[in-house]
Amino acid sequence: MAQIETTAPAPATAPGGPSGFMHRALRHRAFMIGLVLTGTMILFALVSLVWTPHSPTEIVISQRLKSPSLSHWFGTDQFGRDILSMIMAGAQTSIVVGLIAVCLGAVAGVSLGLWAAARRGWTEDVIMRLSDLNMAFPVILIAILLTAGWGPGITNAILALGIFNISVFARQVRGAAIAMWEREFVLAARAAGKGDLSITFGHVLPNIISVIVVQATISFAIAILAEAALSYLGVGSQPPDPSWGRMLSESQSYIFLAPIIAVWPGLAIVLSVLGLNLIGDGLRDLVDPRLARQR
Amino acid sequence: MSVFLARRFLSFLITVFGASVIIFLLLEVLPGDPALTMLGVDAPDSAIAAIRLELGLDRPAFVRYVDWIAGLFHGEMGLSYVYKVPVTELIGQRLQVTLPLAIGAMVVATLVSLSLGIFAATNHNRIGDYGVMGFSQLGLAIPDFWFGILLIILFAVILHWLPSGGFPGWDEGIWRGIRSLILPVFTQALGLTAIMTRVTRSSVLEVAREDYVRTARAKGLSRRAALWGHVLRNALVPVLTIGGLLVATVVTGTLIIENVFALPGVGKLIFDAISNRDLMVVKNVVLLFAAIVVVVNFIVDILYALVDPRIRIHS
Repeated sequence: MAQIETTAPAPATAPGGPSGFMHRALRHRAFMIGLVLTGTMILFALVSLVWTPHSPTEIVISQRLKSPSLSHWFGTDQFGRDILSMIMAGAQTSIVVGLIAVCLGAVAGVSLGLWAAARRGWTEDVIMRLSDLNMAFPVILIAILLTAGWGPGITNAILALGIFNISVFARQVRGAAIAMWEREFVLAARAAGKGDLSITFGHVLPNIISVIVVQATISFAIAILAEAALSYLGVGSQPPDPSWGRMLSESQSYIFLAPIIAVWPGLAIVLSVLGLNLIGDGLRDLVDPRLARQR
Repeated sequence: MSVFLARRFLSFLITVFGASVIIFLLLEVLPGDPALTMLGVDAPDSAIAAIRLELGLDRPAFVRYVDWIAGLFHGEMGLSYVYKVPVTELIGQRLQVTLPLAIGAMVVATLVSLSLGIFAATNHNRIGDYGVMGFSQLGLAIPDFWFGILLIILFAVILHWLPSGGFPGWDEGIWRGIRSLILPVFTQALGLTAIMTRVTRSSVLEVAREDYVRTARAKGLSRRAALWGHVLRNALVPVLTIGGLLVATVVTGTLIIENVFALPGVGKLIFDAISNRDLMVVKNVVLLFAAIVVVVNFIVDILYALVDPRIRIHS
């Protein structure tokens, strides 16, 4: 009788092993550019915890709307606040909101997706219908509902993003997990008497972790964009917490006087999102080189 | 097909019903007394009692929910607490701005993305392809509201070609109305164009690798004839699907764009309603937008199943 392989293959995160992955990553130009951009954003946020050129919240009316200079590299806003310092501190808000929102969505969404794939039948039906319901509410509608009921604030923005992400992760993980459940090593594990929970955490999850990581990177980028949009609309971060979106909203009243102040926060958002998108695309190529050849 | 249609329709009805329940719970039940939400905790008791009576808030939540849904079936959304006019009338007026904005953005995005996507695919791995993909990558990263501000700086502040915002109304002349919507339409179209360009390019590339296209070329068909006769017809199916799904993104995106350009559309209406705590408007506009998202997804599902029989068999 042919012997059935009951051991799961190595998780499909890194063809060629970790060193091969690193080697290919270092040669992937877009991925490396993404790492540098994202690394810069994280560095800005970390440095701003202990040092900024000026206080990001200090109002100095005598210094209002100053052009870029040696003392204020990016100039000052309508209240005389240093724009570079505000952008550095704003990076903290973007990262914190993005991280918490993605974690919330990932934990709930991955659990639901794995559960749906493991149980199938009516459990899967119920989870997918709930996911349909979740998808009926894009981030901005969830944020509007939460703001209308409980008032504006960063917590509502995080919740809106987190809730939206649940169905995104659930759908992605369910699809990937169902494909895993049909693989021979999972069938063999089941034949060997392993339960759903053991197979899910021992065989399925480790093999779809790359899907989750790629989705988390993309969701992080979307979260940064969405947080900025919500703060721009006044339903996200509130004063005096620094936020790139609110900086843009406030600068819009002064674009006839000092258009440059609307440029910096926008650039910060673009570079951060671009960095994360490039990392996401790069990871997808590195994990599945067939995709890179198709693109 | 009829079983598939029935299942999808049932799922559609359940989703819209669920959405209405969630909206009602989040706005009128979970935060506590809607009268307090509208007037604030410092409002005098007499004012709170008056608004409770005026809006029927003294009735049980379940009765209010049933009344709301029954009203919707008769085309009634109640009275706006702030404007004192029917919400349907308010939404109807504002759609005169929101609809042209959404339709204009879809048309611009479709035309530009199809041209760019086909151009990039036919120049695969050449400089034109890299340029289009770079544009697409940037388009995905640029927040639309920032792009709008940049367009205002360039075309309104520096060049004085177009208005920086506002909408004069269609009564003031079609051209004046269109002029005020040019910048918003292009702002809204940016992100959509970026996504649809990528999809068009990869779809054309994928179909061009199919055996039947290779056979057509081997039989002597020119590159151009194969592209227009065989590749595009099949490559456009996923593009149209994504385009359909993006309709929902466009509709909710107008909520942001209208605020950038101070356009008196539904998006402006809902944010004004949040500031004024006009729950009647918020509740109905959110349900309208959620319903649009669900309806669009439903239509895309049906169209996709019509095109690809595997979908309805698997379902």
